[in-house]
Amino acid sequence: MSDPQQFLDLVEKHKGIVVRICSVYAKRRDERDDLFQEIIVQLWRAWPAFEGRSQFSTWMYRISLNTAISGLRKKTAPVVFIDHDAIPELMDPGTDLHKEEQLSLLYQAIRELPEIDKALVMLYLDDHSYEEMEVILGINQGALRTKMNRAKEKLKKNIERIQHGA
Amino acid sequence: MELEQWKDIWKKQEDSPTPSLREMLGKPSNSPIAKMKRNLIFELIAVLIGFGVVVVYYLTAYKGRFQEVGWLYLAMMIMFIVYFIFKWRLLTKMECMACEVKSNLMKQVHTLEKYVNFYLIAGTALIPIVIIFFYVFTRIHFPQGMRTFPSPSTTTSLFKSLGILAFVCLTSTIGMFYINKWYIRKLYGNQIARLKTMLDQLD
Repeated sequence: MSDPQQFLDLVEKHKGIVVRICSVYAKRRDERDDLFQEIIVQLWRAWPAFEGRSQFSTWMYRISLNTAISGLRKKTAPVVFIDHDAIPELMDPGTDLHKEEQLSLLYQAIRELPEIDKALVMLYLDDHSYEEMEVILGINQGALRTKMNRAKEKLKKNIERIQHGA
Repeated sequence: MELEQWKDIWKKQEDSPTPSLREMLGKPSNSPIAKMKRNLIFELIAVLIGFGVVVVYYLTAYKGRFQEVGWLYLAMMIMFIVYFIFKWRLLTKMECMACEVKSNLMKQVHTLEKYVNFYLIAGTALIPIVIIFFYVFTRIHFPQGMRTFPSPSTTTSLFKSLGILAFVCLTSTIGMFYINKWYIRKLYGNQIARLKTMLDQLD
């Protein structure tokens, strides 16, 4: 596995995974760009050893998460992505929010989770099966289900808290 | 809104534009481990140049009278090369990006702790070695008044001389141990704590 074009085609097809992981794990725009580049470098370095035993997207998720959670990042003040006063609809837990605002709210709720819960929630939102999650995270499915339920609860609470402007 | 509805919003998001992937392939890694490896190379170069100059100077200057100092520095240089190889191998082992997240974190914590302990022991052990060397060296080359510590003589017993040496060795080593420990904790403490917290979340 050393064909750069094949690698680039596969990464291009699944780069949404990397973009989403960067958006969740890095707070600032420059940090996101740095993390994106670092993940691509790590994927390219690991590419010769990719044997195709798992799906490319699963392998890509694993490397991207490893890079995102084990990297040292500068400590920065949390960025406020939504101005509650500017978006009165947010005060209403209904569904009148524009898609982009809803997505922004969802990202904010995920960013406030502990590091591992962020990964669990993203895997859930990306519709990965528990088998795939086990391959990515390395924890058994029984423990995964328990952790996933807790992570989902925390996410719900975060969403509600942000929606109510608390 | 239920989580399943949030899932739809998540899945329907459009990918933001990214820079050219091809251009990124040739760039160096900026991971913490890659940075530690680069720092280690700079450290090695600095030690080889700095110690190399001292070795050559003491082996040739003063008509070779103080060549023991040159040999000491040469021995320290060799020890540093061994230290470099050991640290390099640990850093190489530390990274397993294609591993499962949990095993990668375990590997990083285990190897980083080993790395830090080695750093602490190597940095501390050098102090008594250098002090003992200069005790012996000044005893051989310098008259009584110019020696690092009082040597056994008509006024100073062997017991007292060795006692002072032991006291200086012990206090300097303990002092250096705590300085090194503080410095290492400052360098790597947060990273180890962060990795352990994530491992706890996975357990």
